[in-house]
Amino acid sequence: MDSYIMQIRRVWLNQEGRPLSNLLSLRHDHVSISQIGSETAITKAMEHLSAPLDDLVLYHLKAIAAMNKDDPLSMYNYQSSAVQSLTKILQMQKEENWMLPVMNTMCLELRLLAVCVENTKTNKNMKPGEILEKCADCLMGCFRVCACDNRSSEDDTKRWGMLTLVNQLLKIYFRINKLHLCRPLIRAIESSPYKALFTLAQKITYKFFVGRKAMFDSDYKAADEHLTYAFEHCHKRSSKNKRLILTYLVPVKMLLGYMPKHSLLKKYNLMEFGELMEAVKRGNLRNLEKVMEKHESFFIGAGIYLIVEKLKIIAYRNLFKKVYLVLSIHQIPIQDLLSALEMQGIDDVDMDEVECIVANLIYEGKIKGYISHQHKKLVISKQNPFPKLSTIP
Amino acid sequence: MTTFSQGTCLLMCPEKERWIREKEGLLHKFEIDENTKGAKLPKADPAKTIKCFSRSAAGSDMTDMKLLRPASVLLSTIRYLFTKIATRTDVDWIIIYDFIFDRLRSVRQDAAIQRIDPLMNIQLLEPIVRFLVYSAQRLCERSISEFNTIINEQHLAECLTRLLVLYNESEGERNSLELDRDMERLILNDNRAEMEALYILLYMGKMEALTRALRLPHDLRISPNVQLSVKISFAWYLKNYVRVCSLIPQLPPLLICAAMTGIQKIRRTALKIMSSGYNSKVFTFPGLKLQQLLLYKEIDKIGADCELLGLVFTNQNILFQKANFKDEIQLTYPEMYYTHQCLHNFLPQILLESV
Repeated sequence: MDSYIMQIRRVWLNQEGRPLSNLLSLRHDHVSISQIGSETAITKAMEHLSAPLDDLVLYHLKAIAAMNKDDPLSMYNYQSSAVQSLTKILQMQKEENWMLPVMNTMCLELRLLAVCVENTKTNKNMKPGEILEKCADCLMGCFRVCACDNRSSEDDTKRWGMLTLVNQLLKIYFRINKLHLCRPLIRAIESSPYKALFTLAQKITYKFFVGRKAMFDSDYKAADEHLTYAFEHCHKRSSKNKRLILTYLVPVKMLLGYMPKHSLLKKYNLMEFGELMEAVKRGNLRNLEKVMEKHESFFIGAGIYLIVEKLKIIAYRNLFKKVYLVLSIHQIPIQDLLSALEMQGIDDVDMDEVECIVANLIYEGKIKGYISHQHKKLVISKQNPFPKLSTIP
Repeated sequence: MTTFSQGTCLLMCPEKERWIREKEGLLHKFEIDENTKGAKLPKADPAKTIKCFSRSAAGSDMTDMKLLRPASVLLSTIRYLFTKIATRTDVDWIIIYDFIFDRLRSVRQDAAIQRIDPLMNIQLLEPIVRFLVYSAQRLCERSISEFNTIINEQHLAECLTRLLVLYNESEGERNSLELDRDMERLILNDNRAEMEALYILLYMGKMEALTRALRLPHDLRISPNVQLSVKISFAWYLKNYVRVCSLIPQLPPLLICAAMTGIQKIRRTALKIMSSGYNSKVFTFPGLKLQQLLLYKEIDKIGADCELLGLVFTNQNILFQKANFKDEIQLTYPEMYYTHQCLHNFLPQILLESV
């Protein structure tokens, strides 16, 4: 115990960020020192440490005590107080950023604790997402200190800490479905002069979430760009993460007209998409609906059900293109398009709706031509009536 | 945390406010004693006077228990407004709307200050949401100086989001065993399905609303109103205006009112898509068909909308031309779905009972 306090004092005076972050981590060896969370130990620590470090260590030791009592909620609360005193310290330290490793570790552990509390739900009066929201507030406190530190030089600025915090916050906002809160964070990073200089791991996480956000905003080109970056730079041994990225990247790619290889889906065990892709390629709306029903919980759980729904448009395009190839004429009766759907067993669509679907495809540039309502015909362009999806702006 | 006790004002309006407004001549004509009607300073009828909405300001104590009405009084105030005021035919309905809108706002305020129990709060908010949706339809053709759609929408969004949060919170305590609580919850769920459907329709085709819909508890998801609303919202998500407009009439009246709040946008988007799909210098599109597809009541309205959007409307036919479409126009003209008489007959059932 004594040596623990000595070590803390030493690294604090020497301004050694990484060792200090270990000594204030809840996942480091020191937490198993016997009696570390006891009253005597805490009193001793308070005698030997001075402000502002004493508060921080006090809450850290109390969090360890709560951990030994297996009480995640108080553990979270102490960790939250610890992060708040850390925020104050950061605020006071002008022109220095050596504490950033401590901030990264403590903030990460705070979020993990919040998730843990949410999952155990010991307290019935707690609203779902309440702790995570509080956690986000606490992290925002740190974020503000970092983001406002624009007077220090490049070497000493705390703005280097922004991206890890943003990533933590994005994780929370996605989890509690508050995506509108992401925008200011993303803007802060995009306008940062160090945008390109953050570590690769941080950038990958960031790109992953920004890509998902773009997907949610129906900006599929941007989503493709961000997610592709994340996928390509993700280390090849973290196949779990690669699979996660693909869960979003694959439907985005499909929507943009790029069908994934079966071997890739197989490699990452994403065969749900294989069936989906077959149905879309063949323009089989009936099967597409069946696949969506079959894997409904997977698609909803991953938050991609709505984007998969959009694949119906591609399926319609592919089906109508087939009808065109079979007939090989340039004035296609709407009735024939309807019959093609009916042949698949789609029975709740009528002529008006087929015209509407075709009008949408023309509007989006997926079919070149126009509909003549009087003649009940789709008149398509002689040249390239079904442009490749990947070439449509 | 401060705990708030219950208000003690057992009338719809605290005596003090009634006295002041009587003295200053600030009574609404719905609030005066019939016998003193012609007088210079008419007297208030205590059974008709209702607390006004007022913002909290410096010096005014909003938490004075004497001025706050307990939940039961708030509920009967709503009931009074919907049965005795909303149904009146002797004045323009816009006056009725303004009156009820203001008094409901003060009901919400009283409830908020007292931090009324969530289940009770739900019972208060549900009828308020219905009123705002109903009014959106009944007054949609009024000029902006008479009826401000945007303010109405804001209040509606506020009440509805609050309601959804309350529903979510009440979900957590489902395992309580008391019988009357269970009964209460049964009714609650019934209304909740209607309110969830309403939310889905008001935010038709929107990601957030659809995501919520997909994650609703099973018993709500299979309710017919929710199912149909989800179907409509998904159709609009893919801009399938034909399907949207063919499904809307299958909804019950209140939900039709909700869906029709979006019709100006639906028509505008549909006409834009059609301007591409039917783009032609020669061929026209029959107005009667469009009337049927986009739920127009009057064919003249199509003419007006075409003109607004830069499209040619001749002999009741539309000439769609992509290049002529005025992109900057975001909404077509408003048009009522129901006749005034028809809407009037929906009262007060539509406001007080679930559909």
